[in-house]
Amino acid sequence: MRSIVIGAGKMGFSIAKLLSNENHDVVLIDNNEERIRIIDDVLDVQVIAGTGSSWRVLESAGVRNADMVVAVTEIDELNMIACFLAKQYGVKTTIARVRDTEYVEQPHFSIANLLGIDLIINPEMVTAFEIFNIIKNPEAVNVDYYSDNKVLLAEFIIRNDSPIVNNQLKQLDASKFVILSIVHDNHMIVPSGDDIIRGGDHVYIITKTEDISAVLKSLGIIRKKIEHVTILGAGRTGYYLAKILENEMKNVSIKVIEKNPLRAREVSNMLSRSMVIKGDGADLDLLTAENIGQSDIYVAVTDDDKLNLLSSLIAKNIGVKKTIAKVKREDILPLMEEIGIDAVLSPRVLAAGYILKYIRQGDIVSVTVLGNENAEMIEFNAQSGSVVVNKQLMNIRFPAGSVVGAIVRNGEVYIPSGDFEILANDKVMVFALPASIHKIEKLFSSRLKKW
Amino acid sequence: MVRTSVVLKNLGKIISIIGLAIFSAAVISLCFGEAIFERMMLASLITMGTGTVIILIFKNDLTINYREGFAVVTLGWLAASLFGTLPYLLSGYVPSFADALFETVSGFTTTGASIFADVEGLPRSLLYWRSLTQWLGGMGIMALFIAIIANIGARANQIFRAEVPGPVSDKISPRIRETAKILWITYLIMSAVLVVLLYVFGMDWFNSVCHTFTTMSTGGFSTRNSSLANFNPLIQWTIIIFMFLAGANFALHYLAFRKRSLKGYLLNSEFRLYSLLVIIASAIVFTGIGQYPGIEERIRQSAFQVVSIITTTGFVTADYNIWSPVSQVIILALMLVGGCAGSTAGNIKVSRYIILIEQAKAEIKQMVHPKSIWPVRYGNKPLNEALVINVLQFFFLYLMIVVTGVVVLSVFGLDLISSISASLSCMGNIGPGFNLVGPVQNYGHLPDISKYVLSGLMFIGRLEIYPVLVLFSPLFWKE
Repeated sequence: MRSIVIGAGKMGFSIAKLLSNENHDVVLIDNNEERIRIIDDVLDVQVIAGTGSSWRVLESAGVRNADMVVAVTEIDELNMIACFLAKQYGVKTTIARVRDTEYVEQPHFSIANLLGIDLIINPEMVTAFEIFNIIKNPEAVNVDYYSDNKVLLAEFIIRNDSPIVNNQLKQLDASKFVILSIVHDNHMIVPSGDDIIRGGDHVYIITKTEDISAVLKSLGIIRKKIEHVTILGAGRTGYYLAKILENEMKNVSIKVIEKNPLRAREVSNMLSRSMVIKGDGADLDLLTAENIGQSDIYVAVTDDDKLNLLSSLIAKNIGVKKTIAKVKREDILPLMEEIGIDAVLSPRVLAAGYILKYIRQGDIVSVTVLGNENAEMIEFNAQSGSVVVNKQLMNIRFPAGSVVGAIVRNGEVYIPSGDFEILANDKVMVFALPASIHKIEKLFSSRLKKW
Repeated sequence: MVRTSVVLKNLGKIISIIGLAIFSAAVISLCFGEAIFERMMLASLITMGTGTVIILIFKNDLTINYREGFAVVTLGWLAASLFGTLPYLLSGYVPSFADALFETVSGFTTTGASIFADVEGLPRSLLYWRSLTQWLGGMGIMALFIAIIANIGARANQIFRAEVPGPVSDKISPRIRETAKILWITYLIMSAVLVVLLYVFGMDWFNSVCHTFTTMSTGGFSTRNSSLANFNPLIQWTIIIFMFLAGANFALHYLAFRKRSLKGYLLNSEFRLYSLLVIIASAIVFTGIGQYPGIEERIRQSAFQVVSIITTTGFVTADYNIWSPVSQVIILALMLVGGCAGSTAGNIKVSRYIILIEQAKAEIKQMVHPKSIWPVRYGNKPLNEALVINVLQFFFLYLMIVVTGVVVLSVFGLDLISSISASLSCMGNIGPGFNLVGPVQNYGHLPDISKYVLSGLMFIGRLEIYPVLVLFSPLFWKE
């Protein structure tokens, strides 16, 4: 596959690297020759200096034979025009980074459709939504949604006093959820009915989004009520998050702290019920005076990694229950969780993952990488003629280290039991440890195609 | 720099328009075969002649600059008021200049305070002229000037805004001349509808026209000594509805007509509060007027008086001087409210109160969280600080001027309640006050000096203070 990436900034770099690793032939375009030269040394990609919205540059990058164009420069309009041109050259998939929501929210016609953009990505918006997902399910360590948010995958820590501790899994009422995995002492297993959950274990469960309250109850997890959220940094991410919270969580009081007085005023004009405070997130006096310690969740999303880190630690120290920080540097991501910040997000990684999800189309609908062991949540399309079709689950020989989590049929979600029968074109969501992924893929692809 | 020739040239045009208006009164005079026809004609010729001569003398075609804009607005209104006295003076019905000026200013500013004890004794052409001054002043002499006379240049916007009531005005059309035209046509159409309705419900043509003029402009002059009291309930209800409409934003009326939808009214926060105030005030007044036997009459009396005062019209159907204290207090309180921005009503206006309340809310929240920032919103739009300060300042100046008026009136012999209500009533362009200037009284008995002061208040109130005060600043006249 030939892919063209326009814009060699941090995001362009991440995407080019990711695609190159996935065996794409990547051509990277940027008008900063210095930047291009550095990347040429680091990545196995072809680099071209020039503007991505120029037809000459696009043609010299081989746009006629390209399968995909990803435009992620800083400039929305350039990205859109580049995708528009690429579509005229017959490129199958076009992806543009567009950060101004005005372009996306056009109510009368879709700008993306008109310009032939297949996927519009707004990294700050993706980050804001990811944080919102965590806020919505504060008891979870990690949350992910599938199939239009109808299926929910979450990671929980089981407390010592939970009623399910020291019980065998087959004794649990598991009609509403499936336990995909148990992590005990940093070791991840896909459990069988005989396994036991102990206090302090992490569990991954999958369920219908609407059933989450019932599931939490049977797992002995107490729902925390979120009343106060504080957001540090009123940049795009902070603003989007406040806006989402204003619309989606009517009972939550929101405080936004912003250092730049002009931006603070601007944001206070755009938000309706959030309280915008002008001040420094590292200022302990301010955080105490504004009673930030009473917040249920503290979100640090300034552009400054160090400030996010420091401020989250201060917040934790004065009594905030859960802290979420945005960090741009990928290399320090694991470090952050170590020192007590509850969730750490990197917009670049999120956005790259988002794009990857989109381009890995075909039989595999979507994929998420979970935990340190690189287990994957894979969504398969059950092809007619494949081994699994028209069989009950208990009669299919799934490899060890894999489990079926949920099945989506005509938009309806099913949490399956052993006698559930898979039909052709069902979307089957399978959790698999790395060793078993290949065997699983074989189960779902058509036998006829193989020969 | 203020160039005399530019200002005078534009004043000439305004005076000519006034001359044409007086001419229409002369025509009425001729139609009814009145004895004062020649004198009305003379008044019209003097005015038109003066205007034409000024236009001919100053042949320049220079555009108005920023400062001249203010001068044209304020001096234009002054010139209109001065020439507007001619029909009263020349006809001989008002011998004193102070009285004639008071009556004319009261007309153009749509106040409706009168020096006449017996209007029924006046010739019809004078009654028509009184009503016409209100109708012209209602939608605005400057708006008419801009709508009729072209190439006034970019300053048209400033002149228009200086005259349109309220802190925020919306441009309906990108061109201010087009906006002025649209508003005047809306005004004209609504007036035409009201004339027909009043005629259908039992007034004769002449009274219908005169009362339409003074209802749509929220003016309040009547052709009867008893104002609207002796007309039938159907007419009174019609007047209530049209006073209410005239006190609302005309841009809303136009947009509702254009879009064939009433949604615009409901979405407008000022209109909602305005309606709410009318309903609440009427309900409270209703509780205090048990002397009216019929329930319909009681509702009508309270609604009529409340709408008449809040829209600054000043028609009366009852002597509220003899109502119970609670009803009187509500009436007095309404003398500080006024209609909506962009209406023909005077006074402080509901939109300014919305901004004041929002500012107070923001201020209190700010006290609790000293480092927080709270925008002051009007509707959904955040307002810039300059406008908020302008409104706060307006409120202060308004009260200062009212208090000054009260002091002067009392010095020249008026009692407390009469002084306060007269000052409030004239500054707010309402008309009637309490006691000696109450609904069944008039302003004729005041000393000349008080009449000049009240004329000044009406003038300052109609132009919403700033354009007038600017002219008093020494800085304005310096090079």
